[in-house]
Amino acid sequence: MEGNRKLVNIHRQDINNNNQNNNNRNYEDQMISTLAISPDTNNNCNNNNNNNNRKERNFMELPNEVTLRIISLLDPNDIGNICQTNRTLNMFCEENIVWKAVCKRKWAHSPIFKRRPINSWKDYYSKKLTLMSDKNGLCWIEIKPSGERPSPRYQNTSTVVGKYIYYIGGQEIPEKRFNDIFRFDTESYTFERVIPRHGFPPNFARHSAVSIDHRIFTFGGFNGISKHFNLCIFDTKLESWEYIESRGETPIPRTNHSATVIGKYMYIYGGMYKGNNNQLIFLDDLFCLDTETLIWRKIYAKGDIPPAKCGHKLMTFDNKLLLFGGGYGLEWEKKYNDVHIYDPLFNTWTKVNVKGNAPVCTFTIVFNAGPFMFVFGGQSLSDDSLTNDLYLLDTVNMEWSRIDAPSAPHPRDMGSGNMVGSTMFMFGGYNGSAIDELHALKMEKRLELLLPSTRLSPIS
Amino acid sequence: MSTIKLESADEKVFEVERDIACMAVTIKNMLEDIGETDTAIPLPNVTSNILEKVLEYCKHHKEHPTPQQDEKKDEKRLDDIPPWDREFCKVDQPTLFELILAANYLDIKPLLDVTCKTVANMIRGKTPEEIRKIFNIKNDFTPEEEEQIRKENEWCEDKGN
Repeated sequence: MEGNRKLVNIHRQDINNNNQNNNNRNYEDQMISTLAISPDTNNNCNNNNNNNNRKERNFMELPNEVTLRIISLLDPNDIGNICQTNRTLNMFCEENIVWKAVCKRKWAHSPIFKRRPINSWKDYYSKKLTLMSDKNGLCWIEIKPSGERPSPRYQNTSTVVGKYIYYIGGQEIPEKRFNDIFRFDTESYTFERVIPRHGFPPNFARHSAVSIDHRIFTFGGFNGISKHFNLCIFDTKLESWEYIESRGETPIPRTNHSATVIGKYMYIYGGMYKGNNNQLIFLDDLFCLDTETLIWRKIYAKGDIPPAKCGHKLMTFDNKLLLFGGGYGLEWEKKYNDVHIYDPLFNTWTKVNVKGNAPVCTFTIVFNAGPFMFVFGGQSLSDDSLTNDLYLLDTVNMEWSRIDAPSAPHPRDMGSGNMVGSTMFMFGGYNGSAIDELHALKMEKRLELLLPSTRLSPIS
Repeated sequence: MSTIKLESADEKVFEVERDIACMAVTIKNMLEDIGETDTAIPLPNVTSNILEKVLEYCKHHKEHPTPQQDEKKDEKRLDDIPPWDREFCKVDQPTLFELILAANYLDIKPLLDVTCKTVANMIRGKTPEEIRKIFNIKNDFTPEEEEQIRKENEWCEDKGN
């Protein structure tokens, strides 16, 4: 495309030149970003002054910004037609500004939309359109993996490192918690038990885990009897397990919280722990771990502080935290399906006014693909039942949609989902008892480029 | 009512109310820069017949201000050209493009909006070949490229939406 663009060198002998300093056009910002324009400075003004018999204007002589303005007014079908007329116009039709306008007309209804930088609005448009249609090509399949499959479990963690998903811990019943590590090769569909060369994980479940490069950071978790755990690092290269002495302003060890990563920082939110007289205490705190210095920091944020909760999900989009769902109380006296966003730049939580609704709350299975967050299963918001619907939260315009994907697995919660390449893998969970099923939600080719945020990091 | 003078490319001088002329942001800025003046402001990029049309537009809208609507929402809708403006834009293509250039140069956003919308409406619902004919656009694709681009754009079909 770049090469193609350079071909075009539009000479115009029009008033464009005089017009350049005509500031505050107030139209869209980055408009002529990639077009190579060289207004013909030499024989422009002089001619204009004296030559009143100018030849008749035509469409191709309009200034670039005007052509873009006109094309930006069109709907995709018409853009698809005008782009087939001519090379120059074809190029204009690729401009981000054109597709931003298309998306804005079709989907904008949140302030997030305006601020959100999108590399290719055309890409976003086509992916979203495809996802929303009933011909989205999404399909669930159950995978029969080879190798040693982990026993049925839930509230284990699952973390992507390279082409592998690492499954750590989990429980079959509250009294039976695992201290094992499995890794799943997403290319050969093979499970393999990983026995650390140094150290060993505890028997634990309901912890959190994130990966940064080749290291997996777990935090919290409970052994079912007496012990909560702190920060641990599993180095997938060295295959070593290490218990880390907490430093800084440390979070109290907990369960049923959620963790995510922005750059080198791991964030955790909420969860619960058992107080002195076995009383459950729900948390509403946000902590940040610098994974290089291993120093914790408690975050005293402003804005719409989310309530104390557990069983929620914390995700990263656009260098911000997105907190979804959760519940409060022994009998889930409070259930949440709202969305909060924390922006580290402004140290502020915002409760987002989301369009639409995903009527699920706790222990959903979430995974992200580009600007989209998928949510499968979890407990229903309205009753105690488990669900097996697939929802999509578009973090660009903050809108929920229910997504068609045939052959949905049975209802469940507390399972794990990870996007690797163009496939989401879902393992384990709970539907009255622990599950050891492995499912894949495959996205077809045209959706593949959705996935910049989960691009495989090379691992040697 | 204070007036100013504008001089077109073909050296015709128009005397217009300052308020009307100032609907063109470019002229407004010029006046702010040079202050009070009796000399005609030269507009070397606008011929008299176009300037006349432009001033007609400005005059009409000064006298019939459009109720302030939710501009952002409606800004890019295709079908919301007010009746008077629609009639105003019923001109031959060269004139329409001259009006666009003038609106762009003089920075008269509402005029630029309606003229661009008019052109967009001419494109709407047309096949590539029809668009080429309407605007006399040269097809500079090779047949292979044309076929490839046609295929690439099949996904655009967004029927029923």
